[in-house]
Amino acid sequence: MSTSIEIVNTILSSVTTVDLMKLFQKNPNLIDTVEGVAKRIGQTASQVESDIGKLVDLGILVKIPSGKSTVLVLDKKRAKEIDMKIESMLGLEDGS
Amino acid sequence: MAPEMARGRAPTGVLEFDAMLNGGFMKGDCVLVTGAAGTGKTNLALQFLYNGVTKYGEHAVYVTFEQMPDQIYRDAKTLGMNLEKLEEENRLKVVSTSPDVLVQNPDMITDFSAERAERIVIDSISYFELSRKNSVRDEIYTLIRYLKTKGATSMLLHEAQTESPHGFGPYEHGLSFLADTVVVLKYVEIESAIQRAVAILKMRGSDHEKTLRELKITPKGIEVGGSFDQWEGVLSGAPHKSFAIRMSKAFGGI
Ligand SMILES: Nc1ncnc2c1ncn2[C@@H]1O[C@H](COP(=O)(O)OP(=O)(O)OP(=O)(O)O)[C@@H](O)[C@H]1O
Ligand SMILES: [Mg+2]
Repeated sequence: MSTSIEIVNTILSSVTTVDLMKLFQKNPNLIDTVEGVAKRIGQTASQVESDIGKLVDLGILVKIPSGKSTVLVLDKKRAKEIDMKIESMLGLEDGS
Repeated sequence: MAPEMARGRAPTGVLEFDAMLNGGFMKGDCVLVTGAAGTGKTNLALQFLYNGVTKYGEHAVYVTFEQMPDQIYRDAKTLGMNLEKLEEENRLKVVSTSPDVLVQNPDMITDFSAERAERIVIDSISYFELSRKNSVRDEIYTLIRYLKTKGATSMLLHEAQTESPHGFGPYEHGLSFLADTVVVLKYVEIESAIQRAVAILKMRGSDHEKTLRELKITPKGIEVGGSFDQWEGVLSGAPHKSFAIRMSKAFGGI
């Protein structure tokens, strides 16, 4: 299990991970291939591969086999959990 | 309260439009909605889904191939529809994906947690033309067959390219053959003002209105207005006042 600080560090580790998080937050039902997801943030599959890997390791994104390729989806429950962890870490939960 | 749902029908909830359809689309049918950019395809489709959920208690899925689909929520809001709320209540879902993924995982995309989706919109099938290597017609045919097996009433949106009389080229004719019902949205220019219009070109197994009617996009949603009956040739894009009116004008009438 990663600690909150490790999770935040991972998410903030690159512009791409942040872009991916934003993309899935805005489109929680996005289902697309790595290529398709990459295109949506103006990048190519090879450019986003490792960042996607990081989010998959955190359990935020899930890879599902689909025909000849793999599709990515958001684990909404996990994403929410992490959101709450980050919020409490930043001390936002007490409405300050 | 919503009007009662006629048996075997899937009303859009847009009263005048349902009247044109003799009560609504036929349940389980595949409806092709074709029109140029901005004619109101997405808005009409959202209204169909939104009313399906809020007025008729059905479950709805909106599948979009747009790169930035999140603006759909904002667009819907300007027409008085709160999609996020329905998503939270698990009665509607907005799925963004690509045509390839849809064709390979239709269940994953159209299925609801526990319920079956009664209304499905694909916005738009024009993306198949951009992305598929295989025969577009075969792909779309497979998709239509799938939607029909699911028993859902579906709307396939299509961006018409051609400015032929009905906005229909040979390819669109193929599409319109596959669909059970064909709705055309178009712009009409009347005395140098641009208006939107809607017509039902075909509806298998049902009578329907044949005239072109005004389509209005309002902060309260889609509305259908009167016909352009004093205008001839509106569907062909070159409207001129009808002979009878010109004659009566010439003789001091109207
Ligand atoms: N609140 C509103 N009041 C009046 N008109 C509106 C409103 N909201 C949107 N519109 C009109 O709706 C149009 C867009 O309609 P819509 O997105 O349904 O078209 P479309 O056929 O799906 O277009 P595209 O082919 O680009 O996807 C806008 O150009 C605007 O003129
Ligand atoms: Mg549209």
